[in-house]
Amino acid sequence: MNPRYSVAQVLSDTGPILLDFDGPVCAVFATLADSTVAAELRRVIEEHGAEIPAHIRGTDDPLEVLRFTATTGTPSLVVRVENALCRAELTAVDGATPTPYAREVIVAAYEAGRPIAIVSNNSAPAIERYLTSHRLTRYITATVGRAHADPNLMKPNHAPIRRAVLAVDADPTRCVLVGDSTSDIEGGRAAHVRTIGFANKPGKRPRLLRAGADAITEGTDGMAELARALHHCDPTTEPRHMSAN
Amino acid sequence: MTSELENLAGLDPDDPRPPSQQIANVLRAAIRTRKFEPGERLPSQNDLAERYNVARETVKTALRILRDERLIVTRQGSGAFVRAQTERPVGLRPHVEAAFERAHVTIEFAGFSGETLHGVLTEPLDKIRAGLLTPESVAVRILLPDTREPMALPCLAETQADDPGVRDRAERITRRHTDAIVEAVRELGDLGLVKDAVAEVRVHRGAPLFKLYILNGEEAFFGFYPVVEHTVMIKGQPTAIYDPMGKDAILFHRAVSDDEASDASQYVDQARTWFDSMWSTIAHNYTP
Repeated sequence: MNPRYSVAQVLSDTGPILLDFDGPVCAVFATLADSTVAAELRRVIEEHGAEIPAHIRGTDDPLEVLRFTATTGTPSLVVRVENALCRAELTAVDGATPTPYAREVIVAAYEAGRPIAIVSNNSAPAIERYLTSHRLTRYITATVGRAHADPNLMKPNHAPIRRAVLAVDADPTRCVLVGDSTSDIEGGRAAHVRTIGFANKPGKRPRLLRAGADAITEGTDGMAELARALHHCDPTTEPRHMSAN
Repeated sequence: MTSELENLAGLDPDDPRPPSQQIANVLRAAIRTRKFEPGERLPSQNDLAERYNVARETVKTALRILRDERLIVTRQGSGAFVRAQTERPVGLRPHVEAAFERAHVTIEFAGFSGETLHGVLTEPLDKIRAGLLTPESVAVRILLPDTREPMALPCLAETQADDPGVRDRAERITRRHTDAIVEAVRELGDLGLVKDAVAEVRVHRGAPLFKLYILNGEEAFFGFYPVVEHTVMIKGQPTAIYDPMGKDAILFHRAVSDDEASDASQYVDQARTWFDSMWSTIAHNYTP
């Protein structure tokens, strides 16, 4: 199964870029492991006296644990786990590893005059902390993070993506979402934006394609393909620095 | 505002250039022909988008082109304005050309690459070659950062660290211009058109943070290099770097006057002192 379009084609059809955070921008849990955070969230649930089903006991994904709390019908538990996750994410981003060529994508898009919004299931304060410490804030038009204590509004729900589209002030069909999970692609399609799947791990490519990604960029250096396409597609970015001095 | 919009030329549907470029061309013409006066506000992005039936990002790209050309300034929240005349950079070129009318010409430059210097020297050197200018001596001294040693700037943006690939790129840009200047000046001497013709390059390990030109020891031009981030191709890979940006710099001009105590006279004197001190201490001959 092959994607319908190339990365360059999708980029030339679109303007604003909506970037998922964990994956396309950085590996959030590179130093503070996601399994450690998931275990911490389970501890919060146990303290609260709630039962934890087997599949949540076995997951390394803190967002899965948060999603589960929404099924317990206990709003106070959701808030507690949400707050614990927000705290953990703030710690995690200090040790996050930048995704190779993510910076180049952001800067090249900015140079090409394309607005960039981050749309993520991570919490906005953690994202902003990362962007600030990496001196990227000025390139980002908007950051849409996880709705507080309302996990049902996370991607694949299209609500955060629609908010990002509003923030960049464009028609959804002129926007392209770049994400590394099926929930990005599904949410993107529901929001009527174009999608590029970032298959950063083996086995992701067919899943992202099945979810309906318009284009795929593959491998740990996959973001380089986007950066290269952005660098070449806009005539105003090219040699102006050459007359720098 | 409505009438201004109507007065703007329309786009040619057969023009293959992107709409952003076409809109930039229309606005540029309107600014040059004073349909918009210096300091005047351009129509809003929304109005322009509606006028040309394009997306707002297209208008933004068009405005970016004009901003890069220094025709407009954009102020967050209040729109785009035609740049006022007073904000234009001082023209280095006529001063350099006038400097070559003297019998003994000295040009000193300290900065990043010598690209602008190369540009402004071309015409006077051509005039000497054509016999239109006949100085007895020409001495050009060029003071640049050493691209063979670790540099604070330019550098990788992500890590803020020195990178050999980034330096190689700076080296290539620098070499292109300094080699051309040195070659052209030497040729004037070899041809016997100028009795003493010398162009020397020295390098130092300081970061390029500003540019300075000193003409005949009597005039100084100074400009700051803001540090900008952009993506460039290094070894075939897109790379975000922090780079000194000289193109948009306003050059501040000072000339020696009869009053030795005047601010301008002291400025030029101090600029010469600084240049000579760098040249004769931490700078060394550039031998690639």
